[in-house]
Amino acid sequence: MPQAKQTDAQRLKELEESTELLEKQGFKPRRGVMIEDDPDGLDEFWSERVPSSEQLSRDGSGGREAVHTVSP
Amino acid sequence: MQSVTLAEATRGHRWRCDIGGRGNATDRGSSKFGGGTAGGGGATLEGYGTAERALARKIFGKNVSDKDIVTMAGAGGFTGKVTVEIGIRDGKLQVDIDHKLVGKDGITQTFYRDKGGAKIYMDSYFLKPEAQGKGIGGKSLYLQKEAAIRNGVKEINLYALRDGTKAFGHRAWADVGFEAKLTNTQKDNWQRANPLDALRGVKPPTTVRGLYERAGGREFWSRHAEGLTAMHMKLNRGSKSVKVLDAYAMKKGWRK
Repeated sequence: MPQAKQTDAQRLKELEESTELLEKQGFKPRRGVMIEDDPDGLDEFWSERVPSSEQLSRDGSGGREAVHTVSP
Repeated sequence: MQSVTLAEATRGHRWRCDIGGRGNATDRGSSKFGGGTAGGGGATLEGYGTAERALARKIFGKNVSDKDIVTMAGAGGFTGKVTVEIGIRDGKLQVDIDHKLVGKDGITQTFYRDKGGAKIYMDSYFLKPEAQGKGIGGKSLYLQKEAAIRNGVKEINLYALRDGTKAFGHRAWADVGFEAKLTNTQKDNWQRANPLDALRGVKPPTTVRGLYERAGGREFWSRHAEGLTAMHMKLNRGSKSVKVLDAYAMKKGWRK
């Protein structure tokens, strides 16, 4: 039987639980994971999927149009 | 949430595996294997002895191969000699990568289990400057995710750092699929920046992934993420995080 699609509310609840559990485990966030340089190709990867405000401004839409172009 | 500076974030000791709960010298395994996992250059897994294997079985609910331990440690994207040390700390398995391209603060991950199942916590992921921007981290993460799914891991967690200067982990980890709930302040800021949305009946995004689906959302996150954000990559079927990482891996040619 196909699994019912998860709702946004369920996803939010799970995220909250994940963060709470992470904190309860005692992991200390004092040493954050960081990257000092832009990983290879991510700007291009994302510009192909969702337009930036700058791109939309060039197109004359002002960068405010909500779009949903992320493909599964 | 507490904010940390880059200096604070990078201060402190690098965890090594000289920790309690380890077996003696005769039951602490050390295995070498070449091939695909660590770029074909040969990986060495140290410390995967009787006690560590037993804890791995408890965490993952099955025997975990040496190769998958190395890959889940985040070593899959490296070429050349790589050494992975594993040990027990506070009832969790801690793994530490040694490679010539690993930065001084190291690459350390923790495998553990809570009521949500088996999980990985990424304690630190530091590459030397000359190794950054070459896809090592992205490929390692993709292969880590694949191995994690094979071994029943439910999610990979980390705290992403933003310090306003050159540390932009908040964007990098969001870029490769990590998810977080937006704060009310972030949602308010989004609404202020997008006043027409309310008139059109468009609700503000509630998560980082939702934000990234909006035009300009990625830039918004880059500017408005907090100093430190707990981020999660859920590994269940249909996970938006997995879809993003798979798409990136496809583009990079790591995934066929």
